[in-house]
Parts: sequence; C-alpha cells; structure tokens
Amino acid sequence: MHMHGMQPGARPHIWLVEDDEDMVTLLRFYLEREGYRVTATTDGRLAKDVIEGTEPPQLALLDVMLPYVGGDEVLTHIRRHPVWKGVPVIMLTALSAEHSIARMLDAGASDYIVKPFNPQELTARVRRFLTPAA
Amino acid sequence: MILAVVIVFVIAGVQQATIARQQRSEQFREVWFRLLIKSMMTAPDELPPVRSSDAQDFLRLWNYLSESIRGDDRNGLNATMRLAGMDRVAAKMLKSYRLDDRLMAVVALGHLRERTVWNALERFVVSRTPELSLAAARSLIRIDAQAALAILIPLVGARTDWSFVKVATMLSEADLGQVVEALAQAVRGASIDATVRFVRCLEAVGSPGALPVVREILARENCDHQVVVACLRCCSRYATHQDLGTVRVYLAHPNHLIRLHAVLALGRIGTEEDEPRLIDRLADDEWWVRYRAAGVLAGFSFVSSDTLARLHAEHPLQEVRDVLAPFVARRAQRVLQTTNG
Repeated sequence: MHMHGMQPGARPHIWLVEDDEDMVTLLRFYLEREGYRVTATTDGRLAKDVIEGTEPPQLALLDVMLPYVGGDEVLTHIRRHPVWKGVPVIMLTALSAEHSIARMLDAGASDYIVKPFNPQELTARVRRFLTPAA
Repeated sequence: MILAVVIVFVIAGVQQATIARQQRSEQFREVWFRLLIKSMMTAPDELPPVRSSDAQDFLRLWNYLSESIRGDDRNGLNATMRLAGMDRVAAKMLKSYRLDDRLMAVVALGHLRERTVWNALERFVVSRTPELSLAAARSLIRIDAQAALAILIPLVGARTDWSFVKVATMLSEADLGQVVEALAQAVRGASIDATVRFVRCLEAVGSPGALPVVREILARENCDHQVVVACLRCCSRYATHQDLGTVRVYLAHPNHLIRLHAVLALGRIGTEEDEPRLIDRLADDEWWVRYRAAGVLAGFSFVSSDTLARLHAEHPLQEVRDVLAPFVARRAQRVLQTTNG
C-alpha cells in the first residue's frame, strides 16, 4: 500500500491529469462514488506546476496524450521528483495507443487502463493501491 | 438608412437566437450528462422529456458515453436511451438530409445494437461519403459481426477511401478468428490492390492467424512487389523462425522496398547467422535499407558493442560508417546508463 502522507480517516486523494473535461467528469463520478477525493489538471504543463508546487496525492491517474507536455514526460517528472517519486501512477491510454504501454511501464508507471474503460476495472485497479474511505 | 437599421436589427436578432440556443444546449448538456452517468449504475424510473430540438445534443452525449466505457454499465445507458424514446428518434434521423444527424444516428443505433435498422445501415455502407459508410459498417459489426463481415470484407478490398486504421478499429470489434478467416478467404482470387489491402488489414488487426495466409501468398510464383511488401510487413509483426528461409531470400531482391521490409522482418526473427547478411545490407544502394539494417543489427543482443564500434571505425565505405554512427552512440549511451545504475 502507498498511503503515505494521509490523515487517518481522510479520503484518499487521487490526482487526475486528463485534457478531456467530459472524461474528467466521468472518471470523477466513479472515483468519488468509491469514496476518493479527486482533483484534476487538464494539461501537461500545468501538471508539472502541480508537481512542483503541491503535496503529492495518494495516486495519480495520468492520460498519455496531453496538451503541451505528454503524459510520458509528466511520468518521468514524477519519478525524478524527490517527494513525488513514490506516488503510484496509473496511465490512461487509448486503445489505439496500446503499443505505448510497455514503454510506460518501463518508464515507471505502476499500472495502466485502456480507454474506453470498464468502470469496474478502473475501481479495482485503483483499489490495488488505495483503500477508499468508509 | 432604413435598410441599415433593419440589417442591424436582423443581425442582433440572429445573434440573440444563437446565444439563446447555445445556452439551452449547455443547460441540457449539464442536466443530461449527470443523468446519463447516473443511469449507468441505476436505471431511472422516469426521465424528463427530450424535445426534438434537443435530440442532437442527446445523441452526442449518449454516443460520447457509449464510446467512453465498456462493460455492464453500457446496459444502463441503452435502457435510458429506449426509456427516453430516443431509439425511435434516432431511427427517424437516419432519413435526415443533414449528414451529422445521420452520422450521430448511425453511431447511436450501432451502440444500441438495433437490428430493425439493419437494411438502412446496409444502404449507408455503400455511401460515397467515407465517414458515413465507415460509421455504418462499424454499426453493422456491432449489431451482428458475422453477418456484417460477409458484406464488409469485399468492400474493405475495394474502398481505397477507407483508412486502414479505421478499418482495423472496426474489425477489432468482431471476433478475431472470424475476421482472419473472412480475410483469408477474400485473399484467394483477389486483385493485386485488394490483396494488398487484405494483407494490410490482417497485419493491422493484430493476429498471428495472419501468418498462414501470408505464407500461402509468398509461396505463389510471380508475386507482385506490393503484395510481397505487405506480406513482409506482416512478417515483421508475427513471423516465427519457420519463416526465416523465406525472409532471407528477399534480402537480395532487386526491389529496395522488399529488401527494406525483409531487413525489418529479420529484426524480429533473425539469428546470429543473419549478422553477416545484415552487415552486407549496410552497404545497400538505398539509404533506408542501410539505416534499417544498422538499426536491426544494433537491436540484436548477440551483436556486441565492440562489433558495432569496429564496423563504424573500420568499414571501407563512408556511407556505412555514417549510418552506423547514431546506433553506436545510442548503444554507448545505454551501456553508460546501465553502468551508472
């Protein structure tokens, strides 16, 4: 379990980096329903600012295709960051970009989810790293 | 003067109407997006009515959600579509004169697996508009994959306006075994262009089941160059050691594209015996063949860094030394990274 930096009883914080706002709403709906607290960032450049300026979440869900700075670069940034490097990162990848999965796992991704996603699979994969608040 | 005033009023009126329409559309979207998401968990007992002017917004949202998720939650979406009566509205929209209406309806009815519109979709498949024909083809696959393949495979060979990526995505929704079997049957007796397209599809659908078909084609006498290239591309993805002999023969083919793809296929299945063959290709007349041969050699773990460095330093041809340079540097960098942990 990677539950570092969490207050007892607090809802685990998931940081979502995804440029499609409708997808953010959809993912947020499923994750909040499971008892997680979700914050979202909509491009790679802003994501790097978040990494530099805030406390790490308990888990990051990171889209591969992001404006300005790609998800792979954000992942590398996380893995090189002294405070964020231990954060579990689940990559969100389109079915057509499945070939990039091995590269993402080599670069330090903890897991991946293929879009279109299965909601049960999403929550199960997130649960591997986090225990939702009751 | 009066005319100018009238024009100003007309422009202002149109602007107001557009803003009001946009606002209504946004409000509709806000309410229904949440409603549809919730409906994926629990089917609602009743729903607010959808006005005909909101039908487009509804279908756009519904299609978005249908394409975003997989699994059982899709059943809730389908139930909501039928409860709202939008399945009937979508079926009517198939007759709309507006292309985007028809497209949205075709996509939605495919997701809904609505068999009653099969004949209409079959008519759209032969439409000269590739977006509409591909969307209809995909919907047919969703409704009944096996019946759809019988209609679509001949079109895959003929429709040069259908992109391989889209065709492969469409075929990936059918059973892979059925797709490979249908393509394999279609290859027999097909024209050169159609054979190339079928083999490219076999490559794109990502199945090793393509190999027996490719082997059968390559065993033919006087195979067209384009067909050989398509088959070798397939070998680059799926070939096994059984294909080594065939691939090696093409390394010395007079057509440079064939040599190029033979080199790439060797990158997948080549053995230590292929090292001298690939070193020969470093001196090929075509830059791309030299470049790919260098890349393949550098990718083989049995080709040592020393061998690469020696070739780079000592090969009598300048073009061979040039093409090897980036690969030797990349190898050295990798060794350095491994050493530094």
